[in-house]
Amino acid sequence: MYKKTTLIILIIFLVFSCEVQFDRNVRIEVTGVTVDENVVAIPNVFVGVYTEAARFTGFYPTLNGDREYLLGSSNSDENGDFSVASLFDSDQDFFIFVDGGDSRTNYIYSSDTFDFEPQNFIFNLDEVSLKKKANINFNITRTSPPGSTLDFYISYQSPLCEEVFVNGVLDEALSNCNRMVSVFRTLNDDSPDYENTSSSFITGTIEFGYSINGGAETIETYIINQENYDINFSY
Amino acid sequence: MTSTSVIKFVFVLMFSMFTLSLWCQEVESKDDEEHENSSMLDYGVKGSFGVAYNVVNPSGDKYFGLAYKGKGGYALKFKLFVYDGFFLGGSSGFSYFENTNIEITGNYDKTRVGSHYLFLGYEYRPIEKLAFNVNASLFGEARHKNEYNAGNEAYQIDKAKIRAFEVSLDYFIAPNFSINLYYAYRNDKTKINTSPNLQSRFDRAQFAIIGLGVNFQFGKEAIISNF
Repeated sequence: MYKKTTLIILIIFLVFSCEVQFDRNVRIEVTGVTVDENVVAIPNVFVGVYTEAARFTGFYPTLNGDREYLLGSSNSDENGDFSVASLFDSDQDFFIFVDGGDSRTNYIYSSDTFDFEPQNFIFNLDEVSLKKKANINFNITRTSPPGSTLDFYISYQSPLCEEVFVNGVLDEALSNCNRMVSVFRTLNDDSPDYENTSSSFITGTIEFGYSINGGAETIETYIINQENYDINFSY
Repeated sequence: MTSTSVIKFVFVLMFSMFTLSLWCQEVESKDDEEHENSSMLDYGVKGSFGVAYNVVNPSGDKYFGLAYKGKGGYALKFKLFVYDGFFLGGSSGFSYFENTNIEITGNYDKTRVGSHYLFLGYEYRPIEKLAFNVNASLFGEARHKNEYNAGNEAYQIDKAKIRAFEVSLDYFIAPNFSINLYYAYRNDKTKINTSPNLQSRFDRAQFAIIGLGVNFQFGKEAIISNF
């Protein structure tokens, strides 16, 4: 009888509720340390815990769709250590955002928490590496006579880093952290030169492979060591 | 049965005991010509009910003391004398808080604490115009509604077992009417689950209440002296 009443009340709440409610009687703790590309602590980095929830008005979700809610936040201390006390939401789109700001890469820890509660209510991110962003300025010019062609590819690491955890275990396949991005091109009489700027980060690797006039492929690798990394090549 | 429904049940029980005893006495008094000039309020089980405005002050080194700022509140109370100066009573009210440090608590900016509990106490009345009371909570539950962005868009609920201790003073300006001043200390045991590291921050909700209100007295006899 009591259960039935509760159920009916719950249904009424579901239908008429236009409010979002987060998990009752829970505070989670998010811990870790923010470091740069040389594993030196970065102080004062913002760490925020978010959830995305649909807003309901009456029975229908609003047209604006999901909204992000900040559940808790804090900043890393002078040693880079952070401990965020936060509300918790059992939700498919729950994530922790470590903000590297304009000059550094960001980090996202995302997890489906609909059926998952972390052990001891702790999300331990350990070492979060926020590397200095860098631009790769790629410049190819043709110095050889018309008629010569260049097939090349350039692979570099994306500055994006989102790690997806399923029940607390990293799922590499779903994650997207500093993945290699590749560009393939052929240069010929129609477009003999190539110029492009891509975003990556310091310590990121670049792979440049090319073959001139269909010849053997040469592969060169570079490691980015400054904010503006130039690669000039001529054929 | 949850503790809230126990409270509701006892409230209803006590209220009906009180009203039934009033009716019962009233019928008797019609036959009894000696009791002319006295009002109906002077018969039946002795007790009082009242309403008060509260000033709330978070205290201690727990999350209330670290992050909250009191924004006032109010309470409704009633009590019935069981034996001599001993009374049983109920309190129901709300206290309001503003969250000044979300890094301590999680992100919400307002908290409304609804408190509903039963208490047991003793009243000492040295002179006709003055009564001193002490009481302590028996059981009851507090519901904390933590509101997101000050709106009604999103919220989160915490629950706590009420542990209250109160001292109070009644100054009677009429035989059935008193001004009531009290101090209550709350050391509620929260039901918040959190990491071992944060446990000591969230295990208690501690705050003090200074209340000023009015009490209406009724009845004459404690419940047990009626038998």
